[in-house]
Amino acid sequence: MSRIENERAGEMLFDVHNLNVGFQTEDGYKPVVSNFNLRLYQGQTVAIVGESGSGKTVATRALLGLAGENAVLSAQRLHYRGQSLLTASERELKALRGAQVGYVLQDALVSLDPLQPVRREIAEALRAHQKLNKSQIRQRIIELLTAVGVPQPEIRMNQYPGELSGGLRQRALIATALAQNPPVIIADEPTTALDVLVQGQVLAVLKELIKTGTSLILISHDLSVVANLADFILVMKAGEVLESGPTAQVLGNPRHAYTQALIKAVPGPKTRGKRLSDAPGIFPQRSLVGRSDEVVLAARHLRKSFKAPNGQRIDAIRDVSLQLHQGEVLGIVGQSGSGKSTVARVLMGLTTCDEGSVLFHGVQWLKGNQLELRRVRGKIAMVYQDPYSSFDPRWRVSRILNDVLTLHGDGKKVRSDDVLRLLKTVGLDARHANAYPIHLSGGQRQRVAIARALAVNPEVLILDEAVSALDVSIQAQILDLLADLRAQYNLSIIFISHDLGVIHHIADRVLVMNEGEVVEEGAAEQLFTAPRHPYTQALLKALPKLEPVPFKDAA
Amino acid sequence: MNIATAQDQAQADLHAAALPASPAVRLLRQTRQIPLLVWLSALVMMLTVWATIAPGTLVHYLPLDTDLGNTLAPFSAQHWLGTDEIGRDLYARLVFGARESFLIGILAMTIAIVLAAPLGFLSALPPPLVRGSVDRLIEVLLSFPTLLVALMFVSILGQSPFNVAVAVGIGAAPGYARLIRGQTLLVRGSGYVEAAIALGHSRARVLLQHVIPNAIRPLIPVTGLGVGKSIVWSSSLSFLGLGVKPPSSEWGALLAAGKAQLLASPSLIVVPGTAVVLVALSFSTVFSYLQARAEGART
Repeated sequence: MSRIENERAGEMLFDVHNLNVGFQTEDGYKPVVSNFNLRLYQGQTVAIVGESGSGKTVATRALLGLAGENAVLSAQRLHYRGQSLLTASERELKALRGAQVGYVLQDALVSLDPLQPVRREIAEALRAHQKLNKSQIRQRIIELLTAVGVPQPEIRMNQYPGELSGGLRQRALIATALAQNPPVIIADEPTTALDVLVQGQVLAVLKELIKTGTSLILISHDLSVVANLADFILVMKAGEVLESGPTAQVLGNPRHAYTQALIKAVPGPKTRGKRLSDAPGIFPQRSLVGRSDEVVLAARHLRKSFKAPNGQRIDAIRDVSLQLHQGEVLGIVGQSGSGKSTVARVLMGLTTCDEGSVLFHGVQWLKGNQLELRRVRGKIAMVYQDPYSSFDPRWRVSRILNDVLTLHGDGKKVRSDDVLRLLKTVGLDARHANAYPIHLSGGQRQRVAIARALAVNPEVLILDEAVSALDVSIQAQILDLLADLRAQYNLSIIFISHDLGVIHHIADRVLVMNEGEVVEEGAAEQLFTAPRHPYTQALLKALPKLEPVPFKDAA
Repeated sequence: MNIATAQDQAQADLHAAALPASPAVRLLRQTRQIPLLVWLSALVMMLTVWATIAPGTLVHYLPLDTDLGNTLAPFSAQHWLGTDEIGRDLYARLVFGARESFLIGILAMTIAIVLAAPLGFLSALPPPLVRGSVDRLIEVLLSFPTLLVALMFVSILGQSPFNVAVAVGIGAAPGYARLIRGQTLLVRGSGYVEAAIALGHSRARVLLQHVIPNAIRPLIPVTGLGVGKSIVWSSSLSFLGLGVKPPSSEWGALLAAGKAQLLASPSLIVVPGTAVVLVALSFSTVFSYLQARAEGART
């Protein structure tokens, strides 16, 4: 902390020392945050980084007295501008929120009232503390929306959240937090649900705020997002701050093993072919990847359109062709709505396509009869973004796997050994066999989903955003697992993701999709280092990079 | 500490939480969390079941024993809930009536589900033409109030406890059919059904293994609620003189008989009325609780 104290900045806004937050539950007291320290000076940006459940949100909510009704707070110091918040009344806290500290809630998609136009939402925030007349309010709303980079604010202000895109909603939410012109903004995962390009835009808005002297507390699970914005980084895990310091130091010279592992776990160009997690490989030896030029799965000129409620036809994919070679990882990257998932569903025969053909080993398998269709489905397996919804909630893990083993086991009786062996290949064990999916963590569920996909003994594995919902460290483990499995079984993999870093890490060849079309295709190295299509260039440019800013001497 | 070991630790913790040591401990923990109201309701339900199985053990009069020297008696040690106009013990009549009311309720609910399940599945699964017409049929049936349909059927079939149950069952069926339809549609579009198809399962297998069991599951607590409702409906029929006839002491019949003595002895109508409300409420409370628990645990 000494470095922070030495920082010669403006006035100290937040001064938190040994903050403990816990919840009184039926099973007794449960600590969530312990010994949390934070100092925020005028004009500074502090980032709190940690996995889900690390207590970062609870800690910051506690600063505003919003930790919850049954929360138990204690601290040696919890000061805002020298005044203790521990003893502050509800009225004083209310005066703090909005006027002094703007809070940008997590998940802009649900934080805005769907029945109110954006203008009402902002006006509400404006009226909370000042008296303004109608035209003043209108003018201020336009100012705010302009400040956060909303185009055509006069039109946008009258729209409902449902009419705005994710990025615009997030910006509108930031505008409500800015309404009172507060010196401090707390932003909780402001870019998490957003696509790369939109994330870039929102980060630019935040950068602009920092330039105007606003102090920012930024909460994120993504180190690369905060790397370019924050002056200081706090790394949290299980309610404790493991490491804190200036950005350059934390990222460039991390002292805590957890921080080191966290930085190492971020997939990207530098991690290609390397392991991301410290977990040892499941297989004793890596066999060599046998890549060949044989085309396993191919799609030719796929075209698919959906009918919108207003009768218009929307092209989900237009003229998409692809080839998957034996033993390669083909990455498909694109923003949400670019048609990546539709391509996967068409390849699996879960959605029909309007035109085009899908070839499995040169045969149009989707044209076959039901029996043929079911046979080939055993050769192509899929892993979904949300593993939980892909399991029957009534079934235990053992039954889920047993079911698939029986289906493709040539009538042999499946023994519990087979299930255990399968669980072992994905790094789980007998304990997990008897659990229901609901009792497993996100990473464990995804492992079971991969185990199920492997149970059919597939040649092709299609992964649709399979790691997108996972924390970085879990994602690292799953990506390592996939690399192991691919080498062991010589799988051909189609890996769909919106995350360029993940694609760069794992893919041999990459397809870039935009609005239902393949805009660029090429070997991963070549495509990422020398993108030709402007869209790919824009995507890469918007990607926040985890490269520490050059070390500035703080003193 | 690195990520891997920390993760293992987290996984181990998760397991400890998910799979406690002994089932007895888990049961104890769970029973402690049940609210008082649910306990009381469960008690009322158990008494009802007891009265249904062995009404003789709860009373020391028979429901048709008359005590002509002691008509319209108030509550007393001898006649706990008093007597009616010909000196029959109201408590004994109530207990014996519970059997009839409860059995009618269960039978009506069973009939409703047996009718509703095929209708519900037919309106959600097969080709659009069948689906559409069954769906419209359910909508037409739904537009008639339950009691009106029940009234109609009881007048056609004639008055008997069994016919009352059939009538109430038919009246309630469209609502349940609609419920099953909605559940089936929901499950049909779920991720695990898609996953099962993608794995290469046959359609029939997906239907039997995933769609039907998952569509029926949330219905189990609803059935319990339905028993309570059916008791109210069958009592209403009896009260209107279209259900079970006197001298039966089915609760609706008790209410109908007590109506004549409203001024002389209001307890004759208040007591069976309270019983109907209490039992129906208990069923609702217990099964709503079970429903909430089941949903909370599953989603």
